Amino acid sequence: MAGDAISPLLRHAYGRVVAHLLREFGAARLAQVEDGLAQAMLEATLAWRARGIPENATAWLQRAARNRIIDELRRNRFQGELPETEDESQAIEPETPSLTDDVHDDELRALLACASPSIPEPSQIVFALRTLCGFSTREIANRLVTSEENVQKRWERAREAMRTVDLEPTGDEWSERVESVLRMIYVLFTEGYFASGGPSVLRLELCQEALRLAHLVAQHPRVTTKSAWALVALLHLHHARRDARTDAEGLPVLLEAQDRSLYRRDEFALAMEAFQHAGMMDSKYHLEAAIAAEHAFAPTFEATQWPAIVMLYGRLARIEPSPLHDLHGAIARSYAEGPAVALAQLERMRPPTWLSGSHLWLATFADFHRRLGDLERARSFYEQAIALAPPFERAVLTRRLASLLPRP
Amino acid sequence: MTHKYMLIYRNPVSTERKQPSPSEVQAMLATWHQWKAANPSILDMGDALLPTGKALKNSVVTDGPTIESKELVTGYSILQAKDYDAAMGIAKSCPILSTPGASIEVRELAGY
Repeated sequence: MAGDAISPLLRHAYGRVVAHLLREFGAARLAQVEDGLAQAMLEATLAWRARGIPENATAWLQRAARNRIIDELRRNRFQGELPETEDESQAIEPETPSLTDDVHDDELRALLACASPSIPEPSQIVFALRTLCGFSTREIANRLVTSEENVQKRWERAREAMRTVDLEPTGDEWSERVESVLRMIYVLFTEGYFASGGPSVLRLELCQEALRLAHLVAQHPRVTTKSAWALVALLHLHHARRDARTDAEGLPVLLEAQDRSLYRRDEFALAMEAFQHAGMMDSKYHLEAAIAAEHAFAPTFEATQWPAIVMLYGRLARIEPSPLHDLHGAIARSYAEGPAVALAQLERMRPPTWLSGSHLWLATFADFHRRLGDLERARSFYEQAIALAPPFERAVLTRRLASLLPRP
Repeated sequence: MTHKYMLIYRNPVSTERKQPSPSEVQAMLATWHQWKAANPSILDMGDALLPTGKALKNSVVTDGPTIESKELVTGYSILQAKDYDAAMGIAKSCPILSTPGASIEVRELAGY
Protein backbone atom coordinates (compact mmCIF):
# COMPACT_ATOMS: atom_id res chain seq x y z
CA MET A 1 0.00 0.00 0.00
CA ALA A 2 1.26 3.37 -1.07
CA GLY A 3 0.83 5.06 2.30
CA ASP A 4 3.33 2.82 4.01
CA ALA A 5 6.45 3.71 2.10
CA ILE A 6 5.91 7.41 2.39
CA SER A 7 8.26 9.84 4.09
CA PRO A 8 7.38 10.60 7.70
CA LEU A 9 7.09 14.36 7.09
CA LEU A 10 3.40 14.65 7.73
CA ARG A 11 3.34 12.03 10.47
CA HIS A 12 5.87 14.00 12.45
CA ALA A 13 4.07 17.26 11.81
CA TYR A 14 0.98 15.50 13.17
CA GLY A 15 2.82 14.34 16.29
CA ARG A 16 4.14 17.81 17.01
CA VAL A 17 0.69 19.31 16.61
CA VAL A 18 -0.92 16.76 18.96
CA ALA A 19 1.75 17.44 21.54
CA HIS A 20 1.25 21.17 21.28
CA LEU A 21 -2.54 20.95 21.45
CA LEU A 22 -2.43 18.58 24.42
CA ARG A 23 -0.52 21.16 26.35
CA GLU A 24 -2.79 23.96 25.20
CA PHE A 25 -6.08 22.20 25.95
CA GLY A 26 -4.95 19.75 28.59
CA ALA A 27 -4.33 16.02 28.29
CA ALA A 28 -7.85 15.31 29.56
CA ARG A 29 -9.19 16.70 26.28
CA LEU A 30 -7.27 14.18 24.21
CA ALA A 31 -10.44 13.03 22.46
CA GLN A 32 -11.33 16.57 21.31
CA VAL A 33 -7.75 17.19 20.24
CA GLU A 34 -7.76 14.02 18.15
CA ASP A 35 -11.11 14.81 16.53
CA GLY A 36 -10.12 18.37 15.79
CA LEU A 37 -6.88 17.28 14.23
CA ALA A 38 -8.60 14.59 12.20
CA GLN A 39 -10.89 17.31 10.82
CA ALA A 40 -7.87 19.44 10.04
CA MET A 41 -6.22 16.53 8.23
CA LEU A 42 -9.30 16.11 6.11
CA GLU A 43 -9.27 19.79 5.25
CA ALA A 44 -5.59 19.51 4.44
CA THR A 45 -6.20 16.80 1.87
CA LEU A 46 -8.43 19.22 0.03
CA ALA A 47 -6.46 22.39 0.56
CA TRP A 48 -3.07 20.96 -0.32
CA ARG A 49 -3.95 19.00 -3.39
CA ALA A 50 -3.36 21.86 -5.78
CA ARG A 51 -0.14 23.19 -4.33
CA GLY A 52 1.30 20.35 -2.33
CA ILE A 53 2.22 20.17 1.32
CA PRO A 54 3.18 23.64 2.53
CA GLU A 55 6.51 24.16 4.24
CA ASN A 56 4.76 25.23 7.38
CA ALA A 57 2.49 22.18 7.47
CA THR A 58 2.80 22.04 11.25
CA ALA A 59 1.58 25.61 11.70
CA TRP A 60 -1.20 25.10 9.15
CA LEU A 61 -2.49 21.96 10.85
CA GLN A 62 -2.17 23.52 14.26
CA ARG A 63 -4.24 26.54 13.28
CA ALA A 64 -6.92 24.48 11.56
CA ALA A 65 -7.14 21.91 14.37
CA ARG A 66 -7.23 24.59 17.04
CA ASN A 67 -10.21 26.25 15.36
CA ARG A 68 -12.06 22.96 15.11
CA ILE A 69 -11.40 22.13 18.75
CA ILE A 70 -12.59 25.52 19.93
CA ASP A 71 -15.73 25.15 17.77
CA GLU A 72 -16.35 21.77 19.33
CA LEU A 73 -15.77 22.95 22.89
CA ARG A 74 -18.14 25.86 22.32
CA ARG A 75 -20.80 23.54 20.97
CA ASN A 76 -20.44 21.18 23.92
CA ARG A 77 -20.65 24.02 26.37
CA PHE A 78 -23.95 25.13 24.90
CA GLN A 79 -25.20 21.62 25.31
CA GLY A 80 -24.19 21.76 28.94
CA GLU A 81 -21.41 19.23 28.64
CA LEU A 82 -18.86 21.46 30.26
CA PRO A 83 -19.22 22.02 33.99
CA GLU A 84 -21.16 25.20 34.66
CA THR A 85 -18.65 26.45 37.16
CA GLU A 86 -16.00 26.57 34.53
CA ASP A 87 -15.38 30.10 33.47
CA GLU A 88 -15.92 30.60 29.78
CA SER A 89 -12.57 32.21 29.14
CA GLN A 90 -10.82 29.36 30.90
CA ALA A 91 -12.87 26.69 29.31
CA ILE A 92 -12.28 27.82 25.80
CA GLU A 93 -9.45 30.23 25.39
CA PRO A 94 -6.22 28.31 25.67
CA GLU A 95 -3.45 29.59 27.87
CA THR A 96 -0.74 31.56 26.14
CA PRO A 97 2.35 29.47 25.74
CA SER A 98 5.25 30.69 27.81
CA LEU A 99 8.38 31.82 26.03
CA THR A 100 10.54 28.94 27.10
CA ASP A 101 8.19 26.39 25.64
CA ASP A 102 8.99 25.13 22.21
CA VAL A 103 7.76 22.31 20.07
CA HIS A 104 10.20 19.80 21.47
CA ASP A 105 9.14 20.64 24.98
CA ASP A 106 5.58 19.85 23.99
CA GLU A 107 6.53 16.51 22.48
CA LEU A 108 8.59 15.65 25.49
CA ARG A 109 5.81 16.62 27.84
CA ALA A 110 3.40 14.36 25.97
CA LEU A 111 5.98 11.59 26.03
CA LEU A 112 6.41 11.93 29.79
CA ALA A 113 2.65 11.93 30.27
CA CYS A 114 2.21 8.81 28.21
CA ALA A 115 4.79 6.89 30.23
CA SER A 116 2.62 7.34 33.30
CA PRO A 117 2.50 4.28 35.57
CA SER A 118 -1.31 4.45 35.38
CA ILE A 119 -1.16 3.37 31.73
CA PRO A 120 -0.19 -0.27 31.06
CA GLU A 121 2.95 -0.56 28.95
CA PRO A 122 1.33 -2.04 25.82
CA SER A 123 -1.04 0.93 25.86
CA GLN A 124 1.79 3.38 26.39
CA ILE A 125 3.38 2.19 23.17
CA VAL A 126 0.17 2.46 21.19
CA PHE A 127 -0.39 5.90 22.66
CA ALA A 128 3.08 7.07 21.68
CA LEU A 129 2.78 5.63 18.18
CA ARG A 130 -0.57 7.20 17.64
CA THR A 131 -0.19 10.66 19.12
CA LEU A 132 3.53 11.32 18.80
CA CYS A 133 4.40 9.35 15.71
CA GLY A 134 1.13 9.91 13.82
CA PHE A 135 0.27 6.31 12.92
CA SER A 136 -3.33 5.21 12.43
CA THR A 137 -4.76 2.21 14.25
CA ARG A 138 -4.37 0.06 11.16
CA GLU A 139 -0.79 1.19 10.64
CA ILE A 140 0.06 0.42 14.25
CA ALA A 141 -1.54 -3.03 13.97
CA ASN A 142 0.58 -3.75 10.89
CA ARG A 143 3.73 -2.70 12.65
CA LEU A 144 3.12 -4.43 15.96
CA VAL A 145 1.90 -7.53 14.09
CA THR A 146 -1.38 -7.63 15.95
CA SER A 147 -5.05 -6.99 15.21
CA GLU A 148 -6.63 -3.57 14.80
CA GLU A 149 -9.08 -4.43 17.57
CA ASN A 150 -6.28 -5.14 19.94
CA VAL A 151 -4.63 -1.81 19.11
CA GLN A 152 -7.94 -0.05 19.53
CA LYS A 153 -8.44 -1.60 22.97
CA ARG A 154 -4.98 -0.62 24.12
CA TRP A 155 -5.59 2.87 22.78
CA GLU A 156 -8.86 3.24 24.65
CA ARG A 157 -7.21 2.20 27.87
CA ALA A 158 -4.59 4.87 27.45
CA ARG A 159 -7.23 7.44 26.65
CA GLU A 160 -9.28 6.44 29.66
CA ALA A 161 -6.27 6.90 31.92
CA MET A 162 -5.60 10.28 30.35
CA ARG A 163 -9.08 11.41 31.24
CA THR A 164 -8.99 10.41 34.87
CA VAL A 165 -5.44 10.90 36.04
CA ASP A 166 -3.21 13.92 36.04
CA LEU A 167 -0.38 12.52 34.05
CA GLU A 168 2.10 15.33 34.35
CA PRO A 169 4.85 14.24 36.67
CA THR A 170 5.38 16.44 39.69
CA GLY A 171 8.77 17.47 41.11
CA ASP A 172 10.23 14.28 42.54
CA GLU A 173 8.50 11.99 40.07
CA TRP A 174 10.52 13.40 37.19
CA SER A 175 13.57 11.19 37.25
CA GLU A 176 11.44 8.11 37.77
CA ARG A 177 9.21 9.13 34.88
CA VAL A 178 12.20 9.64 32.60
CA GLU A 179 13.24 6.08 33.45
CA SER A 180 9.85 4.75 32.35
CA VAL A 181 10.02 6.82 29.17
CA LEU A 182 13.35 5.19 28.40
CA ARG A 183 11.91 1.76 29.11
CA MET A 184 8.96 2.44 26.82
CA ILE A 185 11.24 3.64 24.03
CA TYR A 186 13.38 0.53 24.40
CA VAL A 187 10.32 -1.73 24.21
CA LEU A 188 9.16 0.17 21.14
CA PHE A 189 12.55 -0.38 19.54
CA THR A 190 12.66 -4.08 20.35
CA GLU A 191 9.14 -4.48 18.93
CA GLY A 192 10.60 -3.35 15.66
CA TYR A 193 13.94 -5.05 16.03
CA PHE A 194 13.20 -8.50 17.34
CA ALA A 195 9.58 -9.09 16.38
CA SER A 196 9.27 -11.92 13.93
CA GLY A 197 6.84 -11.58 11.08
CA GLY A 198 5.39 -8.56 9.37
CA PRO A 199 7.10 -6.71 6.55
CA SER A 200 10.54 -5.64 7.74
CA VAL A 201 10.23 -2.15 6.20
CA LEU A 202 7.34 -1.43 8.54
CA ARG A 203 9.10 -2.77 11.58
CA LEU A 204 12.13 -0.69 10.70
CA GLU A 205 9.95 2.39 11.08
CA LEU A 206 9.36 1.48 14.72
CA CYS A 207 13.10 1.46 15.28
CA GLN A 208 13.44 4.84 13.62
CA GLU A 209 10.64 6.30 15.71
CA ALA A 210 12.19 4.88 18.88
CA LEU A 211 15.48 6.51 17.95
CA ARG A 212 13.80 9.83 17.28
CA LEU A 213 12.08 9.75 20.67
CA ALA A 214 15.26 8.67 22.45
CA HIS A 215 17.07 11.65 20.93
CA LEU A 216 14.23 13.89 22.02
CA VAL A 217 14.79 12.86 25.63
CA ALA A 218 18.58 12.79 25.52
CA GLN A 219 18.96 16.17 23.89
CA HIS A 220 16.71 18.04 26.25
CA PRO A 221 18.86 19.77 28.88
CA ARG A 222 16.28 19.55 31.66
CA VAL A 223 15.22 15.97 31.15
CA THR A 224 18.28 14.19 29.87
CA THR A 225 20.17 11.67 31.96
CA LYS A 226 23.29 9.64 31.39
CA SER A 227 21.06 6.60 30.93
CA ALA A 228 19.16 8.39 28.17
CA TRP A 229 22.39 8.90 26.24
CA ALA A 230 23.39 5.29 26.88
CA LEU A 231 20.05 4.21 25.41
CA VAL A 232 20.67 6.38 22.34
CA ALA A 233 24.07 4.71 21.93
CA LEU A 234 22.56 1.25 22.37
CA LEU A 235 19.80 1.83 19.81
CA HIS A 236 22.22 3.24 17.24
CA LEU A 237 24.56 0.28 17.69
CA HIS A 238 21.73 -2.19 17.08
CA HIS A 239 20.16 -0.19 14.30
CA ALA A 240 23.48 0.22 12.45
CA ARG A 241 23.54 -3.55 11.95
CA ARG A 242 20.10 -3.77 10.37
CA ASP A 243 21.22 -4.59 6.81
CA ALA A 244 23.30 -7.53 7.96
CA ARG A 245 20.64 -9.05 10.20
CA THR A 246 18.38 -10.47 7.52
CA ASP A 247 19.17 -12.25 4.29
CA ALA A 248 17.65 -11.66 0.87
CA GLU A 249 14.59 -13.69 1.85
CA GLY A 250 14.11 -11.69 5.03
CA LEU A 251 15.21 -14.52 7.31
CA PRO A 252 17.39 -13.64 10.28
CA VAL A 253 21.13 -14.09 9.89
CA LEU A 254 22.96 -15.27 13.02
CA LEU A 255 25.62 -12.96 14.39
CA GLU A 256 28.41 -15.35 13.44
CA ALA A 257 27.30 -15.37 9.80
CA GLN A 258 26.65 -11.65 9.39
CA ASP A 259 28.50 -9.72 6.70
CA ARG A 260 30.11 -7.06 8.85
CA SER A 261 30.88 -4.86 5.85
CA LEU A 262 27.15 -4.13 5.80
CA TYR A 263 27.26 -2.49 9.24
CA ARG A 264 26.71 1.24 8.93
CA ARG A 265 29.85 2.94 10.14
CA ASP A 266 28.32 6.39 10.06
CA GLU A 267 25.73 5.27 12.56
CA PHE A 268 28.41 3.74 14.78
CA ALA A 269 29.85 7.25 14.87
CA LEU A 270 26.55 8.56 16.22
CA ALA A 271 26.63 5.86 18.87
CA MET A 272 30.13 6.86 19.93
CA GLU A 273 29.06 10.46 20.20
CA ALA A 274 26.19 9.42 22.46
CA PHE A 275 28.64 7.33 24.53
CA GLN A 276 30.65 10.45 25.26
CA HIS A 277 27.61 12.14 26.77
CA ALA A 278 26.69 8.96 28.63
CA GLY A 279 29.93 8.74 30.54
CA MET A 280 30.82 5.70 32.59
CA MET A 281 28.38 4.06 34.93
CA ASP A 282 26.68 0.73 35.47
CA SER A 283 23.15 1.37 34.27
CA LYS A 284 21.27 -1.28 32.33
CA TYR A 285 21.62 0.78 29.18
CA HIS A 286 25.31 1.51 29.67
CA LEU A 287 26.08 -2.18 30.06
CA GLU A 288 23.88 -3.31 27.18
CA ALA A 289 25.40 -0.61 25.00
CA ALA A 290 28.90 -1.72 26.00
CA ILE A 291 28.04 -5.29 25.00
CA ALA A 292 26.54 -4.12 21.70
CA ALA A 293 29.70 -2.07 21.09
CA GLU A 294 31.91 -5.13 21.60
CA HIS A 295 29.92 -6.98 18.94
CA ALA A 296 29.71 -4.03 16.59
CA PHE A 297 33.40 -3.20 16.62
CA ALA A 298 34.79 -6.74 16.56
CA PRO A 299 36.43 -7.23 13.14
CA THR A 300 35.14 -10.82 12.94
CA PHE A 301 32.98 -13.10 15.04
CA GLU A 302 36.07 -15.07 16.12
CA ALA A 303 38.02 -11.94 17.06
CA THR A 304 35.24 -10.72 19.39
CA GLN A 305 36.41 -9.84 22.91
CA TRP A 306 34.40 -12.63 24.51
CA PRO A 307 35.92 -12.38 28.00
CA ALA A 308 34.93 -8.68 28.13
CA ILE A 309 31.37 -9.61 27.14
CA VAL A 310 31.20 -12.33 29.79
CA MET A 311 32.25 -9.75 32.39
CA LEU A 312 29.68 -7.21 31.15
CA TYR A 313 26.86 -9.76 31.37
CA GLY A 314 27.98 -10.52 34.91
CA ARG A 315 27.68 -6.83 35.85
CA LEU A 316 24.34 -6.60 34.08
CA ALA A 317 23.02 -9.59 36.01
CA ARG A 318 24.05 -7.90 39.26
CA ILE A 319 22.11 -4.68 38.67
CA GLU A 320 19.19 -6.37 36.93
CA PRO A 321 19.07 -10.07 37.72
CA SER A 322 17.46 -11.98 34.86
CA PRO A 323 17.89 -15.56 33.70
CA LEU A 324 18.07 -14.16 30.15
CA HIS A 325 21.25 -12.26 31.00
CA ASP A 326 22.63 -15.47 32.50
CA LEU A 327 21.78 -17.35 29.33
CA HIS A 328 23.46 -14.76 27.14
CA GLY A 329 26.40 -14.65 29.51
CA ALA A 330 26.76 -18.41 29.17
CA ILE A 331 26.71 -18.14 25.38
CA ALA A 332 29.49 -15.53 25.51
CA ARG A 333 31.37 -17.80 27.90
CA SER A 334 31.13 -20.71 25.48
CA TYR A 335 33.26 -18.67 23.08
CA ALA A 336 35.58 -17.32 25.76
CA GLU A 337 36.22 -20.55 27.66
CA GLY A 338 34.68 -23.30 25.54
CA PRO A 339 31.25 -24.89 25.31
CA ALA A 340 31.92 -27.48 28.04
CA VAL A 341 32.33 -24.79 30.74
CA ALA A 342 29.28 -22.93 29.48
CA LEU A 343 27.18 -26.08 29.32
CA ALA A 344 28.09 -26.89 32.91
CA GLN A 345 27.04 -23.37 33.91
CA LEU A 346 23.66 -23.75 32.18
CA GLU A 347 23.09 -27.14 33.76
CA ARG A 348 23.62 -25.60 37.21
CA MET A 349 21.03 -22.91 36.49
CA ARG A 350 17.45 -23.28 37.66
CA PRO A 351 15.65 -21.33 34.96
CA PRO A 352 11.98 -20.38 35.29
CA THR A 353 9.67 -22.48 33.16
CA TRP A 354 9.06 -19.72 30.61
CA LEU A 355 12.74 -19.89 29.80
CA SER A 356 13.43 -23.61 30.15
CA GLY A 357 10.46 -24.31 27.89
CA SER A 358 11.50 -21.76 25.26
CA HIS A 359 13.25 -22.33 21.96
CA LEU A 360 16.04 -19.98 23.09
CA TRP A 361 17.06 -22.19 25.96
CA LEU A 362 16.79 -25.44 23.99
CA ALA A 363 18.58 -24.03 20.95
CA THR A 364 21.47 -22.96 23.16
CA PHE A 365 21.79 -26.48 24.54
CA ALA A 366 21.60 -27.83 21.00
CA ASP A 367 24.33 -25.47 19.91
CA PHE A 368 26.67 -26.35 22.80
CA HIS A 369 26.25 -30.09 22.14
CA ARG A 370 26.84 -29.58 18.45
CA ARG A 371 30.09 -27.75 19.13
CA LEU A 372 31.14 -30.47 21.57
CA GLY A 373 30.61 -33.04 18.83
CA ASP A 374 27.65 -34.76 20.52
CA LEU A 375 25.46 -34.74 17.43
CA GLU A 376 22.85 -37.12 18.83
CA ARG A 377 21.97 -34.80 21.71
CA ALA A 378 22.31 -31.74 19.53
CA ARG A 379 19.79 -33.16 17.10
CA SER A 380 17.29 -33.93 19.83
CA PHE A 381 17.57 -30.41 21.32
CA TYR A 382 17.25 -28.80 17.88
CA GLU A 383 14.11 -30.81 17.24
CA GLN A 384 12.58 -29.69 20.54
CA ALA A 385 13.59 -26.07 19.90
CA ILE A 386 12.14 -26.12 16.37
CA ALA A 387 8.81 -27.33 17.68
CA LEU A 388 8.57 -24.30 19.98
CA ALA A 389 10.14 -21.58 17.82
CA PRO A 390 8.23 -18.82 16.01
CA PRO A 391 8.36 -19.14 12.20
CA PHE A 392 11.47 -17.05 11.48
CA GLU A 393 13.62 -18.65 14.13
CA ARG A 394 12.28 -22.03 13.10
CA ALA A 395 13.72 -21.54 9.63
CA VAL A 396 17.16 -20.76 11.04
CA LEU A 397 17.11 -23.71 13.44
CA THR A 398 15.90 -26.06 10.73
CA ARG A 399 18.84 -25.00 8.59
CA ARG A 400 21.15 -25.70 11.52
CA LEU A 401 19.65 -29.13 12.07
CA ALA A 402 19.96 -29.97 8.39
CA SER A 403 23.67 -29.12 8.50
CA LEU A 404 24.14 -31.80 11.19
CA LEU A 405 22.80 -34.58 9.02
CA PRO A 406 25.30 -36.52 6.95
CA ARG A 407 25.32 -35.19 3.40
CA PRO A 408 23.94 -37.57 0.83
CA MET B 1 -8.33 24.42 -31.72
CA THR B 2 -8.46 23.53 -28.08
CA HIS B 3 -11.23 24.05 -25.63
CA LYS B 4 -11.21 24.56 -21.91
CA TYR B 5 -13.11 22.29 -19.60
CA MET B 6 -13.96 22.53 -15.98
CA LEU B 7 -13.99 19.39 -13.86
CA ILE B 8 -16.48 19.83 -11.04
CA TYR B 9 -15.93 17.40 -8.18
CA ARG B 10 -18.78 16.06 -6.13
CA ASN B 11 -18.55 13.95 -3.04
CA PRO B 12 -21.33 12.33 -1.07
CA VAL B 13 -22.18 14.08 2.18
CA SER B 14 -21.36 11.76 4.97
CA THR B 15 -20.49 12.33 8.55
CA GLU B 16 -19.22 8.79 8.91
CA ARG B 17 -16.29 9.49 6.67
CA LYS B 18 -13.18 7.75 7.84
CA GLN B 19 -10.50 10.18 8.92
CA PRO B 20 -7.28 9.67 7.04
CA SER B 21 -4.00 9.11 8.84
CA PRO B 22 -1.07 11.39 8.03
CA SER B 23 0.54 8.77 5.79
CA GLU B 24 -2.71 8.28 3.93
CA VAL B 25 -3.02 12.02 3.42
CA GLN B 26 0.48 12.17 2.09
CA ALA B 27 -0.17 9.25 -0.24
CA MET B 28 -3.38 10.89 -1.43
CA LEU B 29 -1.59 14.16 -2.14
CA ALA B 30 1.09 12.29 -4.05
CA THR B 31 -1.52 10.83 -6.42
CA TRP B 32 -2.81 14.33 -7.18
CA HIS B 33 0.69 15.45 -8.11
CA GLN B 34 1.25 12.43 -10.26
CA TRP B 35 -1.99 13.21 -12.04
CA LYS B 36 -0.90 16.80 -12.64
CA ALA B 37 2.56 15.73 -13.79
CA ALA B 38 1.14 13.14 -16.20
CA ASN B 39 -1.29 15.62 -17.72
CA PRO B 40 0.38 18.91 -18.68
CA SER B 41 -2.89 20.09 -20.19
CA ILE B 42 -4.29 20.66 -16.71
CA LEU B 43 -4.19 24.46 -16.66
CA ASP B 44 -5.31 24.99 -13.11
CA MET B 45 -5.47 22.41 -10.37
CA GLY B 46 -8.18 24.62 -9.00
CA ASP B 47 -9.06 24.52 -5.38
CA ALA B 48 -11.24 22.76 -2.88
CA LEU B 49 -14.36 24.12 -1.28
CA LEU B 50 -14.93 24.03 2.43
CA PRO B 51 -18.02 22.05 3.42
CA THR B 52 -20.01 24.95 4.85
CA GLY B 53 -21.17 28.14 3.21
CA LYS B 54 -24.13 30.39 2.60
CA ALA B 55 -26.88 30.38 0.03
CA LEU B 56 -28.90 33.32 -1.29
CA LYS B 57 -32.29 32.90 -2.88
CA ASN B 58 -35.09 35.42 -3.19
CA SER B 59 -33.14 37.74 -0.90
CA VAL B 60 -33.11 35.09 1.79
CA VAL B 61 -29.74 34.05 3.13
CA THR B 62 -29.48 30.49 4.39
CA ASP B 63 -26.66 28.52 5.90
CA GLY B 64 -24.75 25.96 3.96
CA PRO B 65 -25.23 24.31 0.65
CA THR B 66 -25.67 20.95 2.27
CA ILE B 67 -29.06 21.08 3.87
CA GLU B 68 -30.97 19.06 1.37
CA SER B 69 -28.36 17.67 -0.96
CA LYS B 70 -26.84 14.24 -0.73
CA GLU B 71 -23.79 15.37 -2.64
CA LEU B 72 -21.63 18.36 -2.23
CA VAL B 73 -19.45 20.22 -4.73
CA THR B 74 -16.05 19.83 -3.12
CA GLY B 75 -13.72 21.35 -5.69
CA TYR B 76 -12.80 21.96 -9.28
CA SER B 77 -9.93 21.91 -11.77
CA ILE B 78 -9.58 23.41 -15.25
CA LEU B 79 -7.90 21.73 -18.20
CA GLN B 80 -7.57 22.20 -21.92
CA ALA B 81 -8.30 19.51 -24.48
CA LYS B 82 -9.18 19.23 -28.14
CA ASP B 83 -12.57 17.69 -27.49
CA TYR B 84 -14.78 16.09 -24.87
CA ASP B 85 -13.22 12.68 -25.48
CA ALA B 86 -9.78 13.96 -24.62
CA ALA B 87 -11.11 15.81 -21.56
CA MET B 88 -12.91 12.70 -20.35
CA GLY B 89 -9.69 10.74 -20.75
CA ILE B 90 -7.97 13.00 -18.24
CA ALA B 91 -10.98 13.10 -15.95
CA LYS B 92 -11.01 9.28 -15.80
CA SER B 93 -7.60 9.24 -14.15
CA CYS B 94 -8.45 11.95 -11.64
CA PRO B 95 -7.63 10.87 -8.06
CA ILE B 96 -10.94 12.23 -6.76
CA LEU B 97 -12.50 9.04 -8.14
CA SER B 98 -10.66 6.94 -5.57
CA THR B 99 -13.02 8.33 -2.92
CA PRO B 100 -16.11 6.15 -2.70
CA GLY B 101 -19.15 7.79 -4.25
CA ALA B 102 -17.23 10.69 -5.79
CA SER B 103 -18.22 11.94 -9.23
CA ILE B 104 -16.92 14.44 -11.76
CA GLU B 105 -19.02 16.67 -13.91
CA VAL B 106 -17.13 17.82 -17.02
CA ARG B 107 -18.32 21.09 -18.57
CA GLU B 108 -16.87 23.07 -21.42
CA LEU B 109 -16.13 26.71 -20.66
CA ALA B 110 -18.11 28.96 -22.99
CA GLY B 111 -15.19 31.32 -23.45
CA TYR B 112 -17.13 34.57 -23.26
